[in-house]
Amino acid sequence: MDLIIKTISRVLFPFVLLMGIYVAIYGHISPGGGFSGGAIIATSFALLVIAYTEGDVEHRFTKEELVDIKAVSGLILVILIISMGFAWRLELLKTQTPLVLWSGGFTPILNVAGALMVITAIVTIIYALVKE
Amino acid sequence: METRYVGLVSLVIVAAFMMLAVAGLPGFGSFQQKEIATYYLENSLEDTGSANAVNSIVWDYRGYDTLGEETVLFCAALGVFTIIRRRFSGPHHKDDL
Amino acid sequence: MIEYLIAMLAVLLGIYAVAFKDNLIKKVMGLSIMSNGIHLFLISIGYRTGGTIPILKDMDIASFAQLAVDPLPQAFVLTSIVINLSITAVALSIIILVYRQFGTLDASKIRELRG
Repeated sequence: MDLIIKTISRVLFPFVLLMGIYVAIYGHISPGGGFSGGAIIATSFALLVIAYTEGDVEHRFTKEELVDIKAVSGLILVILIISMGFAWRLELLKTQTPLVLWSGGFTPILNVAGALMVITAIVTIIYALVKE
Repeated sequence: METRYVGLVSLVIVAAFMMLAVAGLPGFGSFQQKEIATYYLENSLEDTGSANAVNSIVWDYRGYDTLGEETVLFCAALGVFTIIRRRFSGPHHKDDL
Repeated sequence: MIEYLIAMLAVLLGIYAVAFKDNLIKKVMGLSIMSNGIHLFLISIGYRTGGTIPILKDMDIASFAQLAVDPLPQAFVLTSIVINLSITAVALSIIILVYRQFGTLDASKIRELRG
């Protein structure tokens, strides 16, 4: 890729990441939530991956990198299953005033977990499809 | 009689049936109050504590649907990784997928 | 009335792309256009004239339930968008396998080559 694309994508990466974290965490106040925030963060990673791959090199990705990503996402899924199975509600976060960040019961934790699931899945797919 | 013209005529017939089906709906913007929507809108704040009704529906009232969808996403990522992989060990043949 | 017709037009364009185009990638794009059209139709059913978004913001609850639009189709469309992403990803990886085996992406030529 050109020098302009590499420089601009390296400069823009932290701002897109910050926007995605804001949309994912403030899910119970403003529209957005887990899936939208996860998609924005995965877009910022995909920008870096696409801008920094060399031309037609058949780059065989190693098995260890993708196994690490899959282990993290599997762990998050197991935690989600167990906590939904027990229906454990955080009473501390529930009895505060609404419409501030420190409120909302169980939903901010679930928003972050859902965003993590979407990030790992989309990064795995883009890494596998771009690096062939 | 080419197949292409038969296909286009059948597409026009399907389009006519779709327009006819849509014309029977009530007008745009006349959504009546239903019981479930009223219950979700009124009791979303005191049951879950989040002011966003859509967020509390997706993660609290209908949480099992979201759990199934996460499983589908996980299996799709696993499937993409498995299909594209080439062989890593042994001699590299010309006609292996 | 015309809003529903535009959503159905998007579905019809998707059906035309799947059935009448020869390139395999254009067929996958047609699948995505079709599902976008049906999501638009689902969300525009629950609209109320002069209504607000279903987020409670300095309003009392009794008038909020009279003014807000329907939150239920929006929750279902969120799930459907993620499932559509999974379908597109697996379809694209199968297209990569087809290209490695046959060497071409034309659907009418693949029918004649018997790998």
